[in-house]
Amino acid sequence: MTLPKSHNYDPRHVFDVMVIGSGISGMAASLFSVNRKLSTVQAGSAGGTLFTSGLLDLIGVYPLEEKRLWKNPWEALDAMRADGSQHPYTRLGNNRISDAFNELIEFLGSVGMRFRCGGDHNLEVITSMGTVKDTYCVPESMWHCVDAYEEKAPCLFVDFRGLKEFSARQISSALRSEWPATRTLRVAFPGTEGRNEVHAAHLARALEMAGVREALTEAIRPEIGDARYVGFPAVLGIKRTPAIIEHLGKLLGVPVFEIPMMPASVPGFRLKELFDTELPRRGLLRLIDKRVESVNRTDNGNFLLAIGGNDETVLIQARAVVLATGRFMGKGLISDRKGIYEPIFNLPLHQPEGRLAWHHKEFLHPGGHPVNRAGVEVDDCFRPVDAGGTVVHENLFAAGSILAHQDWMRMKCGSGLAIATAYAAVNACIDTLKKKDGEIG
Amino acid sequence: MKFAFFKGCKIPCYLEQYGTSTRAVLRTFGVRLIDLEFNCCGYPNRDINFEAFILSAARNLALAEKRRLDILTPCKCCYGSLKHAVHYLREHERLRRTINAELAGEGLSWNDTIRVKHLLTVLCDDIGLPALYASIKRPLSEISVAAHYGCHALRPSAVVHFDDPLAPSIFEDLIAATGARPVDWPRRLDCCGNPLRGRNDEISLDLMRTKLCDAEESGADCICTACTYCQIQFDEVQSEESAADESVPTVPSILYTQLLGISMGLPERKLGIRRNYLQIDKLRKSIK
Amino acid sequence: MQEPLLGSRLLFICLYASIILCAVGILFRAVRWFFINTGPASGSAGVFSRIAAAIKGFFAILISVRFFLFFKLLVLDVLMQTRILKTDVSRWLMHFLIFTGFTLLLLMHAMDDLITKKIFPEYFSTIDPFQYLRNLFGLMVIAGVAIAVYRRIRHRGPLLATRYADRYALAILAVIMVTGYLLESAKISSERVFNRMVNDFSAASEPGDDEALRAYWAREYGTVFAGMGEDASEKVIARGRELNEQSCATCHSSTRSAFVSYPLARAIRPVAVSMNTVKADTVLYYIHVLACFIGLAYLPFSKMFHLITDPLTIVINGLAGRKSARGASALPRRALELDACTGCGTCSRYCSVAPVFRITGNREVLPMDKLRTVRRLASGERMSAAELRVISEGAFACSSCFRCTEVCPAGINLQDQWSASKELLAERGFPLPHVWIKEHTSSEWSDLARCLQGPGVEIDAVKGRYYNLTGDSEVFAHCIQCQTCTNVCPVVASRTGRDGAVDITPQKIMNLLRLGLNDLAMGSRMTWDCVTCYQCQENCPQGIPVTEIIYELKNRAYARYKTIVREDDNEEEGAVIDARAAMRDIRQDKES
Repeated sequence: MTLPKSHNYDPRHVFDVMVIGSGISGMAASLFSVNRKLSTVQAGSAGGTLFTSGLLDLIGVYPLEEKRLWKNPWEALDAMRADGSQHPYTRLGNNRISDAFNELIEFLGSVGMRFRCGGDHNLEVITSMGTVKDTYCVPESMWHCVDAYEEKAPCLFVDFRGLKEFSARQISSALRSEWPATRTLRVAFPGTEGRNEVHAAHLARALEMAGVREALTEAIRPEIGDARYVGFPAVLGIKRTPAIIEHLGKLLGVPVFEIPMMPASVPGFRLKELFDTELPRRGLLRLIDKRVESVNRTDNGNFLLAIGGNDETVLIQARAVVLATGRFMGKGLISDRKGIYEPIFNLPLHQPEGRLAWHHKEFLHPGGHPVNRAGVEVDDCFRPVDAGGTVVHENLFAAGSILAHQDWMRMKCGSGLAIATAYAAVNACIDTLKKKDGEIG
Repeated sequence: MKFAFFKGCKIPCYLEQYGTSTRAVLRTFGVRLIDLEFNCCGYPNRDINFEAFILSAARNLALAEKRRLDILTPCKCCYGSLKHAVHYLREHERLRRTINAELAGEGLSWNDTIRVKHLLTVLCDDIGLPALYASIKRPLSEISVAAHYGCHALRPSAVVHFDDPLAPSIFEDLIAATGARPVDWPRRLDCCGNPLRGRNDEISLDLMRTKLCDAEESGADCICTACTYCQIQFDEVQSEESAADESVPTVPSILYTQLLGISMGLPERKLGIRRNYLQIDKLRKSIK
Repeated sequence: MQEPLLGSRLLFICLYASIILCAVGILFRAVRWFFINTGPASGSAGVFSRIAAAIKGFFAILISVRFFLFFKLLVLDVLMQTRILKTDVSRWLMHFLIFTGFTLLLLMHAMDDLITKKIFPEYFSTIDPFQYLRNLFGLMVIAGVAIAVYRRIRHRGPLLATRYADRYALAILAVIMVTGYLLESAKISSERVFNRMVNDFSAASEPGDDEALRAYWAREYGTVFAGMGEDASEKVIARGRELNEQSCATCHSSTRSAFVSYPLARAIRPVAVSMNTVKADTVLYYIHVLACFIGLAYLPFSKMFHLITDPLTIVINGLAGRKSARGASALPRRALELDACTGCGTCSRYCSVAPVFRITGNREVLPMDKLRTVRRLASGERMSAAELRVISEGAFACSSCFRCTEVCPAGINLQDQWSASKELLAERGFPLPHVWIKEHTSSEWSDLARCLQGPGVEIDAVKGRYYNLTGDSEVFAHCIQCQTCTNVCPVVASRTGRDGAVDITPQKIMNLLRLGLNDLAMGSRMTWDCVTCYQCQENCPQGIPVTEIIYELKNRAYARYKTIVREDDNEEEGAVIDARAAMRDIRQDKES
């Protein structure tokens, strides 16, 4: 079967799966789906994965009220299950979550962005704020950061004049007590002399050119001294990052690493770039910057989705849908004075009774706010269910942060939740499709 | 297959070879190109006056409608302009009425009955890659080509409907058909800089130079364009600039129709490769 | 036949005077080509270097082996006027009829002593085929003039404006032709003219012969004799015919072959006798000949001058090719071209950006009007800043498609005129808006607008617009200031020097709109240096049409700021200076 391409797809084509949403969970669902040879179409905005830091969290904090940090994330999940939490993770075994991570990391590694997982423990990475963050997976560009911090090795942090979101001095002074052997250096990025504002993504793209790297290292090399590592803000290229890091390391004579920055940061661009370019090569049809305007079902239960479309609305027929539209920022959920809604399928939601119950009285309540746990409730196959537990559509699945009973920001489980639930949803989807095929056959 | 051929303003005098090579290539596939009395697509005046831009484009659309022909344009800026006009006219009824009232004076009107296509879309989808592959007499396996997508055909995708705006593949597919090796280069979707020519030459040239450095580092023997303005930038402007500044590598640029024409064995007389300011060394032997 | 009138001293003086006037006029205009400034940096090339360059160019053409092209241009483009035929058959017919008819009349009729008689020794203006041909050629001219008048009425409008020069040209042709026919018919019917000739040529023989010849001429030649009866006998007529054969026929073919004048003579029979009495033929002769002299004397200053300039332009530009002319020789060439334009309007009909004129109503968009303006600019006419602003708007709307140059019947390299005049306008301080708007910072513009314009202008600017992206908060309110637009913007990323760098970033433009500070966004460098690559719009996670917003900001900024220096339409160029002075004051206020 020739898969449709975005410039010539046949509107009469019946897709196996339509993924709605283009954040991490939407992208992961699309990946899992094309990996399983399903004909897949995805609709969503252009920049869904931009706001990721590049670090993939599994889980950091549980339970929220205690703010308990876990060295071993799997133990945290076990604890969650033991407590009878309704967190979506509890519908999955550790093996399946691990498989989901592995499949995604394998994909990213195969297209040039390798990751390192801590396995049974979270890794410690320093951030642009000078704090230390626990995470499950770090990209190759930050490996040496983990090592350097662990060794507390002599290290030079470099920052750039005009790059406002990153201060080497702040990091160094914040970490002084635990990591005293750090020094800082501020240089003008080649070609931006005299500018009072520079932007991370622009520096990253400029570093893709060898001449710029050479000019940059000229300015840094005399300052290396005893440093065994050089840490840069996360601007070391959007494409070809491994080659850039290797080249810089060679030019400077010591290994270099990136320090993650606040979103939207360059590692987010990298992930976006990889998903954007590699998934269509694997057969994904992407409808970018398109909204789902309406949904109908055909007689045989397929979804008929009208995708707009300022001026052109296209109709997509799909045998199953994975809903990965996120919460409020992704417009997967919308709210008004009366309550919260799911705009596409108008799904029943788990949400606080009335608007007054959305938030605790204390803004910084350790347990987070009830509204942050609102969302779609699902069964074990990740199909949305109503309050009584009845499946809404047998071929509609939900994944990612739209799911109820989780507060991924506070629990530090965003990426893992997105990846693992997308994995589960796509697998459940396959079972459903097979069953349908069986009925027809 | 028959199309109204929308050449745009620059081809007749600044890039004649694009017109002749497009005709030569399409003729071999049995595509007939009809010349109509088109005017400017509106793009050059869009900065100044929206309505003038729409009327310019709408008049062209209406002329083609009158002849019941779809429009084929080899220029990406013209393509973008015409598609934008269609988009605005569809979306806004009052604008449509005003424009149609203006067009009525010369017996024209816009009724949204024809389609606007870019040359590459016609080659890839209407003629089709299999037919293209079958027409190749002399695969150009010796060269690596950097496809330059050009902004106005690709974005905004919601309006122009050309290809996946973030991961387009149509141009590489078409280059691969000629036997040449399409190179993956980080800045393939970036702007050539021509829209700022004469408006801010410093930025315009910087954008071009950055792309040239990238193409060279990525191992491209040449850049391939399918847009009048992009080709003018990478050919004429680059040749002027490379004479002035030696620090930037020279990467010659070729029009896709010329590249395809060579591999199809069409004569130089039609393809006009020698009219390009910069020549590709590896292709010298192949030009008839 | 004796023509006593041309021999009159007065007419000879007039003839020579008009020839001298014409020659001096032509010389004057030709010399002017080397003096007027027709492009940027004209001052750098002196008159002598222009003349030298022109002579060099002339010899370069002489020694180049392009005679074939030369004759092709001469025959096809100059004599056959194929350049007109390419665009408009009816206009070609009109022009061909006038040109051919008039030229042949000139050669065969007006200059008969010099030319026709030399070739045909037996020539008399009253024998065939000359009498017939004269009528034919005259009719060609009249038909041509009629088509011209019809076209000018039928197609009147901005693309075919009829001005004084056009009216004069048609009128003088019409006067010459009509008086010519009237003169001929007056002579046909005139008894006095008949008598004069009988006295000179007829050997009066038998009595009654006189009567017979009269009767015969009255019937056959259309002469009208006072008091003559209708009823001449066949016998008398036969004798008249005989006499006619003997004395007259060698010089007089039947007047019926004057197929216009003869019917005209029949038509004026009722008044023929009185016309004869008042010597109408002599009067008409004076009018006819003097009109010709006037036409001749005034030729270098009338539209008819194109008889000289157009062939020159066609040949020179045809040989030189259509590439832009550079150097000193370009200046006289452009000046010559300015004289070659007849205002036929073909260029305007084929103008690629004519829709801009249809929307804005700015006639300076249309090539024909633009060339008139170029002529005014070249003549050093002082124009107000407001006017120059309008001219600049028209000049920079051009998309350089060369179509006007392709179709110009006079072979003018219009595209070269446009590039020269655009450079000239830029030199005089009226460049592209992308340039002049960046002369001030956005806050300066915003202050200027506030100082020199009342409130409400912005509201007026929105009226009648189809889109209001920049005024509708629904469009940009969801901006979360994530900087994606800035991060993907190649213009912000461009590593230029400090002067070339943009002032604010796209995401800040969104922020300014959210704050209602549209003025600051409109005049910003970011807005005017936007390369329109649509990366920001395509990548915006919130789906905000960033590029479209920037386009609209440019539209609005232009509409608003162009009126700022226009405040005082009566002012001369000083208005710009006023605005600059206001600017200085604002700056000083800020500093203090």
